[in-house]
Amino acid sequence: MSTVSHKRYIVHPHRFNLWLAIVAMIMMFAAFTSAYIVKKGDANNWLLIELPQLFTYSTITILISSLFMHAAYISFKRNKIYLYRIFICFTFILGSAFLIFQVNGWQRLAESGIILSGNPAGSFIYVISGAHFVHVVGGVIALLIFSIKSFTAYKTPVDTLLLNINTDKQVGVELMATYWHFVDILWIYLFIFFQSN
Amino acid sequence: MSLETTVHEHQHVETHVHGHEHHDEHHHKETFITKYIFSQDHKTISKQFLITGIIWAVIGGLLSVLFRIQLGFPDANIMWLKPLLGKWITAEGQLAPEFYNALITMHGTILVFFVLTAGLSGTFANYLIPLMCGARDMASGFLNMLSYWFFFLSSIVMGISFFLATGPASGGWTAYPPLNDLHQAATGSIAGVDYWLVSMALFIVSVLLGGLNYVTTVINMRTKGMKMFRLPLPVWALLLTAVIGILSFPVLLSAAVLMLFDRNLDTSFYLDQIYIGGEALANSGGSPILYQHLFWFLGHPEVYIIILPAMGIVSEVLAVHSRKPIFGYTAMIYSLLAITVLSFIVWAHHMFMTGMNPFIGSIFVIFTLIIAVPSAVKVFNWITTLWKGNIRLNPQMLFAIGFVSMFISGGVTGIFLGNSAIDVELHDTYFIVAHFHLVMGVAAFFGMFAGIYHWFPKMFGRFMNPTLGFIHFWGTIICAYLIFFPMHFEYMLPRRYPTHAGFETFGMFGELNQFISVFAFISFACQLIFVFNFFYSIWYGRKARELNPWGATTLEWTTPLRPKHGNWPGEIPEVHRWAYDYSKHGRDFIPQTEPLSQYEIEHGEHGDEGDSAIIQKEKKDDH
Amino acid sequence: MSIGWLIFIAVVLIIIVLFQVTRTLDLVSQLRGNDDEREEHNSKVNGIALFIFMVLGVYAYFWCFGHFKNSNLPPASEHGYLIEDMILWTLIVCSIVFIICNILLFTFSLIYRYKKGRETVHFAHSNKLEFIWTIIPTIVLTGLVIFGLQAWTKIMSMPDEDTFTVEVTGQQFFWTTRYPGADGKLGARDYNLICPDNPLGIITKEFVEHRINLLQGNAKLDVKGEIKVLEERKEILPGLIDSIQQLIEMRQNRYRSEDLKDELDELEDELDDIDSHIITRVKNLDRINTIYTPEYFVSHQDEITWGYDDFMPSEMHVPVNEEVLLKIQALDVLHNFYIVHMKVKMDAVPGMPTFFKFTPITTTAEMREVYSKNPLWQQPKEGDETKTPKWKNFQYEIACAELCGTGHSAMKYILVVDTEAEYEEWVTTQKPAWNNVVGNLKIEGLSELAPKLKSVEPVATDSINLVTDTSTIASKGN
Repeated sequence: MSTVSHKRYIVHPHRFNLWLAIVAMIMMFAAFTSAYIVKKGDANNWLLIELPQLFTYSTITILISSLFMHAAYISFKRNKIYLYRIFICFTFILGSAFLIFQVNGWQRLAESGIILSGNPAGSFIYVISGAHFVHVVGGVIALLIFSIKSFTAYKTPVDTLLLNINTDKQVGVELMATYWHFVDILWIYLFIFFQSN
Repeated sequence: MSLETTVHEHQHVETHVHGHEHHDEHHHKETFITKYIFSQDHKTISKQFLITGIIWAVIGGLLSVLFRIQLGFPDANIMWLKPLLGKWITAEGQLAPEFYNALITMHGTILVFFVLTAGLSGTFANYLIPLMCGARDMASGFLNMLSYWFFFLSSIVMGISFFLATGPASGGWTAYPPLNDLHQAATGSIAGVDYWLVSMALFIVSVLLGGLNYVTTVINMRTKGMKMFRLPLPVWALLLTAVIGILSFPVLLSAAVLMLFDRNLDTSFYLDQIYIGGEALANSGGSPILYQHLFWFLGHPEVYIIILPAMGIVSEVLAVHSRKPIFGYTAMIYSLLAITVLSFIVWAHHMFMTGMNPFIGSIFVIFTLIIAVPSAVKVFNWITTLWKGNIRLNPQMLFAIGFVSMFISGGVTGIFLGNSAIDVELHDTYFIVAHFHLVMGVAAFFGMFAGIYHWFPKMFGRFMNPTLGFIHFWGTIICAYLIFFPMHFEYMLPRRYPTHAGFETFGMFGELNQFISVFAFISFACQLIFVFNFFYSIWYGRKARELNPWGATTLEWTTPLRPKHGNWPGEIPEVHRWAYDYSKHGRDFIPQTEPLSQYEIEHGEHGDEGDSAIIQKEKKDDH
Repeated sequence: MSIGWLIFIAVVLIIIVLFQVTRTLDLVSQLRGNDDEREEHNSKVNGIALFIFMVLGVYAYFWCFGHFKNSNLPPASEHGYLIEDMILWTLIVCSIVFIICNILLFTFSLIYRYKKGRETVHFAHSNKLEFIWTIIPTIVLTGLVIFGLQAWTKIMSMPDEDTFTVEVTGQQFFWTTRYPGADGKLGARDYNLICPDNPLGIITKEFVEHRINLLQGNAKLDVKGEIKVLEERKEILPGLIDSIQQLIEMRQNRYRSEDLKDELDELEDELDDIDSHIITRVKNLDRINTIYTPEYFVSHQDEITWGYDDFMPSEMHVPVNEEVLLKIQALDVLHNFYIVHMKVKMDAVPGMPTFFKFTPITTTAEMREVYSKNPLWQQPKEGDETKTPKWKNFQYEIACAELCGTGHSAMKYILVVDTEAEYEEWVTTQKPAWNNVVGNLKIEGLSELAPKLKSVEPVATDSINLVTDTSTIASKGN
């Protein structure tokens, strides 16, 4: 695996950039959730909200999609482009399913009387899961691009060979995987956070 | 600290292979647009930040001139400004009070964010990090370009808000709710605050994109031999600035998002039991104080985002122009680190008077005053750097000395304000206006000027005119002291008042306010001299003929006179020593690229004895 | 426009002149001597200038303290002296640092200014020195922190529960104070009940009753009436907008129709907002109905009587040498209750009461004496015909110290510190706010009801009737 180009940096700059960006995103969600905790602590009319079942489904969906993403990454690294195509497309489909579940979940929540402009407890759930939703939308768009590229880019054996030599081009898939795992873990954290509150 | 250890483990960074590709890539076709507009060259992006920053500084300064007219000459008829300001001048030729509020709000926002964050750290982080670390460019030129254009977009949105029928945001640069949350609370809150929030959101994206790049470049892309403890101090300062930005700006984004929801989708994050405009609002369960916590969690680190780059620049300029190593290099770095860490745990000292728990207040008092220790260490080290030097008092050095003076004068008043008991009296008065203008406003500007005069020959291949530079310096420092020093004696005057005329107790400062206003106008005029000098020198200044006009040790002076994209035409030079070998072994300076001579000990690799041994050796040399 | 042109021409001329001057300067500097000489010359001139600047600066520093001594505030409260002491000590410490550092900085700049061949020292660090100047600030600051926190804890400690309490409410753009009256207790408040007759939303049976009564359409200014007005307005507005639009079209060719367009914009905005105004009022009513159930009046039978004797004076009065607890609230946006001489400053936050206690130790009359010796207070006020010196009319002033909108600088309120006797006398002249509005409340027999309420034995079932039926409340009261 180790080629010359990888030795140049301690960490590939783009990977490092992504990790820093993830730190920034964590700070943003840390701010949201600590605001939630602080507000809960001093509010006298805090509403205890039970999340609709749909959010459990979406959690399972994104968990599985994360597994697929990992599988896609492994097969890409091992040059099994055929498998990679299948896995990345499945990740994309599951990612989109997650988005649909989230939207339905919000609808269910609204039907049960918890609306955005009501008690801050509910508003927080909408805003925090909404901010996460936006991050997933970004990821799904990227997955779509990767899926399309998986069909167009690696057609000939020469392409694959080139890919093998130039490890810089492998970084893209790795970054995608990192980001996708991040939004997955982030959602699981938020899900547990909402459940335990 | 973890940063540091990783850094020590991996010293060998070779960027030249990658760099070559990059370098060649950019040789074939460069149209005007890719070269000057959508450039991915860090040097061009830096100049874009600088020039945009200067434009905003002039606008921001102009706003302060307008409200200083109001404060110094409240009875003056300013009908002659009607063509410029339109309906913000009342029929009696007075400034409308809501416009006064808009002026101070925009003055604060523009200067804090657009000029002293984007214009200062955007300019110098972009310019200095790759050049001083020995890199071809930033980690990602594309993100770097995006960073500038997000800033540009953000400033356009802010600019548009000036032309709204209901005016720009007018609830202070801190945008506290409910004043900024409720449309009916102020004219600026009708639409202006939405623009303010959107502009801030774009600005945050810009800062984050830039910050990611700065950190990655410093950590990953240093040239061979450039250990972290060989880096020049500006790079350290800019690195830590970027770290602070990455950790604190996302929190402001959260705060802004919640406020946008409150304003437009009727949520109640910051609202509780409000009766306004004859209506009891339905919003309940929120808290205005929550916003203040979120805001100041960014807001306090923000002042260090402003001052750290200036500190780094000044450290470099002081060392170069006094021909001496910066005193206590390691202590300088550790004090920067201490300030960075502490900046995150002092935010609530802005909120002593919000009815917060006094015990929590006490904890913040302790942390706040601890910050004075690393700051004091830095000041003493700067002064010692001058001791027994050979000080070239050119404009950049004057501004660096001026910075230290301003930082002392503004810093000591922080000791008053950080003590919550004294803050009871001084909170939200002109004392604090004087304090932060000296310590982070004027001081940061002095650092910026020092940097511009110093690196101008590298940036544009020409020198700025020193005579105009001297006039600029003397005008600025005299005015800055005459404006902000006497302002401390107005310690009982509440700030953000267009007029204090309604109060007998505040009535005795009419003359002083006039005095301050007059010098504010003069000070503004002096800055125009600088602006003229800057643009004049870009095209007509004296040409730089030497590669290293100041005799500096750092890597940026090893590049060609007008470096192309990629910075070094050949290989990136290797670094063998720290950045401050001035006056060592009887030599004026030893560049970082020069290998250690046979018996030479590198700085930092010896204890106290080694140090004194060197001094003794120097003394022997002298005799 | 002509002024604009003049300015433009002036600016262009200035730039041309600057351009030429700079160009000449550049040329001259290149002619004059070599780099070293120029450097030495510049360093000498600027070094001397820096030194002179420093000397003048240090002189001006001390001069200022003398010059501004008359504008300093004499503290008038107990904790004011604590703060004054803190400031003095911090000032001494800081002045020493400030002056020594600046003297060293500027003196070094002069002494070690550039001279060709001057010997410099490679003095890169010294653990001893750095240790000294880390440890000294640490010790000094520890002292200041301990001193400061002692004062802070003293100022912020909560007083006993029976401390004399005054409630302060800030709103755009004035302050209201409320005193507990004879029973020593402040009536509870609810922002839902605020109306012109009940500006602070005090909860009493009648005020709730008033709202509910208003609901039945008996009064002009009620919530339901307001809704009705708004709804009528909503019906009219589209017609108005249409006709203005037609007017604009008709005028288009002959007159400028900007004024009409402004009007049109306003009307359209109004139409956009009108629904939200209606909804706000409907929700307000809903909340009143949910909170003030008959059970509420049973479980709060005492609290709802505390408000009757509360009074809201036009000036704040406090007796000297007695501790006062301020309960600070805001109705709309953040304010900050700032009694200048008392060194009292605390944010007023909607939805969250804050507290500040202080003990005034100088009466208004005594402070006038103090100011009678102050030269700044000898002049008569501008435009004062009687030519009375300012100090004779001195009052303690209260201001707002947190930006609250357009009228921020107009939130002036007066504090009068009386002697014990004066205060007692003043209290007797104060009428409960209830008395002023009782005539406006159109509830029969009400005037007798209120004072008697305390003695009435409330019966649960009757209370329910009281709330739901106005006629019953009157008869029970009698």
